[in-house]
Amino acid sequence: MKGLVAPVLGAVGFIALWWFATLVELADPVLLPSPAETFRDTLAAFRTGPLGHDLTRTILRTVQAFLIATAIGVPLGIALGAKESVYRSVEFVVDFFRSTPASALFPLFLILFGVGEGTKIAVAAFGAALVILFNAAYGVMNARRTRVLAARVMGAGEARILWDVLLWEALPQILVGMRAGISLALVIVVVAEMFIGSSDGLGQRVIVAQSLFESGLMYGVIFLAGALGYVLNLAFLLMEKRFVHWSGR
Amino acid sequence: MIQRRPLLLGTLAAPFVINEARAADTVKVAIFEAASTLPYFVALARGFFTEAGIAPQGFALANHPLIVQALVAGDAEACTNLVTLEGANINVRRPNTVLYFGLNGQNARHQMEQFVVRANSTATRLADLRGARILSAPGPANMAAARGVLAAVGLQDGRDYTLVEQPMGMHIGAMQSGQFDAAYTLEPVATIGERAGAMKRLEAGVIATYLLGRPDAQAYAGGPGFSGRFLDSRRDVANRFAQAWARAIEAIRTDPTTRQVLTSNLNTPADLAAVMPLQAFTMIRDFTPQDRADLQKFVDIGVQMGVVRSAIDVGTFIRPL
Repeated sequence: MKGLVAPVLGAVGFIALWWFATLVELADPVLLPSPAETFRDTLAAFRTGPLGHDLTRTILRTVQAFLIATAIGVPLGIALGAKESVYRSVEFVVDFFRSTPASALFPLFLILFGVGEGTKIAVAAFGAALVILFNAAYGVMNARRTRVLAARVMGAGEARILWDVLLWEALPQILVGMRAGISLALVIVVVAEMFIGSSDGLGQRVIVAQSLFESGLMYGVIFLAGALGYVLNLAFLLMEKRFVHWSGR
Repeated sequence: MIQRRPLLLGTLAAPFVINEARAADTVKVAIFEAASTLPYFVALARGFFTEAGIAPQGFALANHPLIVQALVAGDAEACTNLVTLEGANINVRRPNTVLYFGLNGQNARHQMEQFVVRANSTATRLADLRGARILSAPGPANMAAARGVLAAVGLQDGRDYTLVEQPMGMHIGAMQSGQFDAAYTLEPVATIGERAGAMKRLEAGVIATYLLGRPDAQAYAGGPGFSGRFLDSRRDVANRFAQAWARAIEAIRTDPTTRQVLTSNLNTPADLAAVMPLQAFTMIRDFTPQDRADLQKFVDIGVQMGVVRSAIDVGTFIRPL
């Protein structure tokens, strides 16, 4: 319960600042609506509009992209991390694409995966997989030498060392990668919904609200996307605390 | 006899008086970089603004909602080619935000929006698009227009065809790769795609023909305007700006070499600039009653389609300057 106080205070402070900015009319009310108006418009879009469906679609796409990214990134990252020389040979490709804005690759993914759901999920999975792979590989490479040596001295083979030592040593870093990966997947999915053709999703709703000057709804949807990212991040943090309690020890 | 005191005061004041006479009036202009902004660059290149004592400070913005935002915030005083439905929308919400002094018409002669099909397609009319996978220019207005036109020939989204919006930059590639059978696209993409062999025109000027009801109607889809605040406070500057604009329109009508500006200022390849269709650039002061009726019908259709939030009299946002 105590842990909740600081985040709640932060959120309240943010909303108070926003409310104050609208009170002193820092910007035209058409461009910057008050938190109350934003809340009212967003609630109305949930009750009578398509916002519930949009939120569900974005969550589904993000989860699908994340699962694909994890299925590819974790095993590949561990395998590459176990053979550092191999990882070094692909490091350029990983870092190159990690630094490339995913939105710039939309045309390529559109050719590869067509115009349906495939492209949005694939491009998000691609971006997230690189982050997960990178963290998994470094988690393995940074495993404590003493533990690896101790296992080797006790006669453990390479496969056993990988399974019983390296994997557990790397798990905290893998979860950090997965946490970053799901946030990135969400961002890419929302951007893809905005710019590569979609009839639903939070990104599409932002664009439509922007075109119709429904500023309250637009900021409400942006807020919703941010809140979704926060919740996903929080879920991973709790999972890390619960399941990798040996982290850092 | 010359008196010393007036002479001294006159001499001291001279630099300010002369400077005031020479200094051109600055106008902050929001630009959406497309062929529809041609009059602005022609007026700039041919010195029409300079001769009118105007020094435009142009800046490009990536989409129309950002241009409206700049007009509301006072960061822009004029715009070169704001989409009419966006203008209507913000004027419904906040009257007097943007006032058009010109509008650009499009129809079968002044081609802009159109349906295209793959180069090897056997379709010869819009009704042949039954069963087609169609891509559309992005945004709710373009999607609604495409659906409205297809509905006018008896085709229904989901039942008779599928419609997916795509960014303009992807239209040619998506058609060439075979992912779509047809596209509701805009110029110059259609001309570029046709020249590249990726697509061929099925029908252009479809809004005029099918939504406004006459092939020779003008779909006034966008145009230049001022913020209401600017027009109220600097009427004389706005008038001179509009006169320079009118001279540019006249130059575009009579002098084909003005198309070179498409190459020098709008990144259009020279061979394309020479042939690409242009909209009918029109000043509001030259509007006929029919033009005004066409505009009202165009906006009313926007209301019906749900892309303009409620009905608005077009007279509230056009000004003959």
